[in-house]
Amino acid sequence: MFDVILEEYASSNRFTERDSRLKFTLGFGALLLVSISMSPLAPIFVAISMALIVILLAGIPARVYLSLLLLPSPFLVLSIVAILLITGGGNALTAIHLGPYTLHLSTGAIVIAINTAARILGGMSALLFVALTTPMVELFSLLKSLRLPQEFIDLSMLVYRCTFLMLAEAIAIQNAQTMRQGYSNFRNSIRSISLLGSGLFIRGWNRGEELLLAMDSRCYDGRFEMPLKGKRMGRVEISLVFAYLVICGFLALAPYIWGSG
Amino acid sequence: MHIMEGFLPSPWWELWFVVSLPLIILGLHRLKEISDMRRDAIPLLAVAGAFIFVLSSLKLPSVTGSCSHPTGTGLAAILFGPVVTPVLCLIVLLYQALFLAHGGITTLGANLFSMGIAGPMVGYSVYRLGCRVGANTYMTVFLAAALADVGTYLVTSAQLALAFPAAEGGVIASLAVFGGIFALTQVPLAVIEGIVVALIFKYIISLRADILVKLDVLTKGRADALREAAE
Repeated sequence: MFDVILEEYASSNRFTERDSRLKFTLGFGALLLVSISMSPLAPIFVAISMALIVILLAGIPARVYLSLLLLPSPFLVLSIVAILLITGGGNALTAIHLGPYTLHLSTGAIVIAINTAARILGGMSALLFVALTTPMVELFSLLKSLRLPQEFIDLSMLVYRCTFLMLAEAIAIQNAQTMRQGYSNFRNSIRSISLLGSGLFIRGWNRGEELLLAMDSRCYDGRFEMPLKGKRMGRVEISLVFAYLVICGFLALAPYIWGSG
Repeated sequence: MHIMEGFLPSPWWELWFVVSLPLIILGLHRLKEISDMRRDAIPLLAVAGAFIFVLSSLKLPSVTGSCSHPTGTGLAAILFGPVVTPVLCLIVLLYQALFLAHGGITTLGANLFSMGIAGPMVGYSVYRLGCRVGANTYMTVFLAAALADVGTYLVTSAQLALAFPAAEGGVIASLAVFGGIFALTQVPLAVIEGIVVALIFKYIISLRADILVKLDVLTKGRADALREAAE
């Protein structure tokens, strides 16, 4: 079902113990700069540097990192082809006639395609940095500092907890079904997956009711507080993150400043 | 169908956040109301959120050979209505981005709009309409789930078309290209998800119809009738 669950790596790498605010600032800051960048410069810089940071400094296996980066490639390839064919501008290189439309391959389209591909690569790298180095639990302290409603944070935490319980159950059910030839042909697969879905829903619901009972017996009043505290940040760490973001920002905004690219 | 991280250029990804924001605020407001009213709401909604997450990570058997994942949004909309579903989807999409590198953070707004708002609205409307005209419940559920998927896929295609308009023919031509490409995988997926959700619905009715009555998805009388018919 899941080839890789990132949480496993997120909670056991060399960055796990670092302050989450710094990691979020670095990851999401780079992400933001990549997505407003007009040239492929900043995204490519982020893609390369994040790969080095994650693999060399955080100690995530390179194989895992690359397979994650390549995960959405079918969608990427299809979409880049579409962008190449439909968008335009610049000099036309070749034209393809398709029904009522003429599709041009032009220099403008190539520029857009390169920008998009670079942005995806840079964006995915920044996203993977956060996903691979930051345990999900730390996300809650971020949500809290964003002043999101308490109900929403409670709900997110409980969804997180239930997800793992349900996943374990789903995997167990699916293994049992596979052993009994549940996925031997298309018809069986449809039946098995529906049984799995409904079984999960009903079991999950029962669990939810049990959870409520357990919480009630511990004086649950609809709120659920959790002590969340940040770790100490070193000056060096802060300045490194800041310097990194300044470089990214410079690369992202350079074409605006000099009006080229 | 997730738009991957970095795919949408500025200002389109910002725009979809702005579009989704009012509905999320509405959803959060409703969530607060529900949890003030009924203490058991949050744990049960949490189960629902986890269920959507796990459901959307199951691999569906696919006729074309490639693996596809259900979106689960149709079922969520039928069960929890179109106001709370966006909040659940927001959590699920956030986890998918950070757990599985599916979708993304900048594209969260766009994905939320297609999968958490537009799709569920279609699914919910179809389900309620079907109930009102008294159509066969399973057929209605099938249509609601399948059309929620089709709605999601059309909105995603439109989002891509708006961000990348064609040089000739503009957004419409671009929509035709993106829609055409993704129709190959998304239309069969919608039909399969429709069948699977209808079957899930059937099994839930035969085992725990009381949940559906409690969620106000079915009236008590209707649930009993369906249950008897199944036996």
